[in-house]
Amino acid sequence: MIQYQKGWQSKLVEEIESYSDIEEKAKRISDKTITYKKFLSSRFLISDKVDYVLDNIGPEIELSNLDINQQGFSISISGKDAIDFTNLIVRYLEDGLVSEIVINSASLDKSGNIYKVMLRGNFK
Amino acid sequence: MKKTDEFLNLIRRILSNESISIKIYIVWGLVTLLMFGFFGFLPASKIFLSNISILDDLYQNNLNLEKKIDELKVAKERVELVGEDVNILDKFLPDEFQAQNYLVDMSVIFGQSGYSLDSISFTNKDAHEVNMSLRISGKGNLKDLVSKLEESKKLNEIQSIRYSVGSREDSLNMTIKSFIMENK
Repeated sequence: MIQYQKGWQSKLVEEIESYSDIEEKAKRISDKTITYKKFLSSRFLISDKVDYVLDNIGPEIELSNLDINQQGFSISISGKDAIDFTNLIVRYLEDGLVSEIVINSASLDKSGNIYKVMLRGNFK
Repeated sequence: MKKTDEFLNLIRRILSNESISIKIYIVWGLVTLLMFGFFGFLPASKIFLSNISILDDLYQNNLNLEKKIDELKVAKERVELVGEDVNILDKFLPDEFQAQNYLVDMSVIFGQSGYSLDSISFTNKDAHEVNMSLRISGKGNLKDLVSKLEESKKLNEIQSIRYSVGSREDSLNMTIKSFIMENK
């Protein structure tokens, strides 16, 4: 009886060994899918933040420079009316994506009567 | 010699008495049976019992192996169904870092968003990520570019953007991290 069971087992092991490549292939697919999902859920996206920064700048303000990363942004902007900058800061703060807005510098170009402002914002 | 003959004669005399000899044979037989039972039957029965448990283990293992084979058959069918489509996964998560693939992908995305790629440099920090530093110029759509980069087949994470608006064309410096899955 034991010999019969051993013989049966040998046949089964032989059959399982014939599936070794399938197991390897299935494992590769599974590993890759799991890793893809892991990376997909762990990566930080910036497109919403870029949209937020650019969309709030109205047509009355002109953008010169933008630096942005996951932590925050800084912009160099210019415009003819000082109230437009105040409105921009209010829009940024009201949308709730930033924790603070700091005015780094503000100057008036008297030749063209244009205000040049540098703002910095930290994302929440 | 004489004493030995006397002892043998005594034995013969005792055994010639049928009732005594029958009793002796019965006792002898019983003692033999007990001895055999103790030294023979007990170990034999132990071996037999242990063989039964081995037999049961083997049978259970074989049943599990058969179950495993059935599962492998199903897995084989599924893997064969997927077939060569598996390679599509490589486009999303490459097994190795190949600069030319990234160069092509990036150039296409920038072109679609109205920019052109001026320079690109790679650093392969570890087995799971490639860092790219890019310089781009043109009059394109920044928002469109960013969303295209994040929606591209490869898993990109934009680390930073430095955007300068120019009168003829804008310039962009970007750092992007792209995920890969190198075989260890």
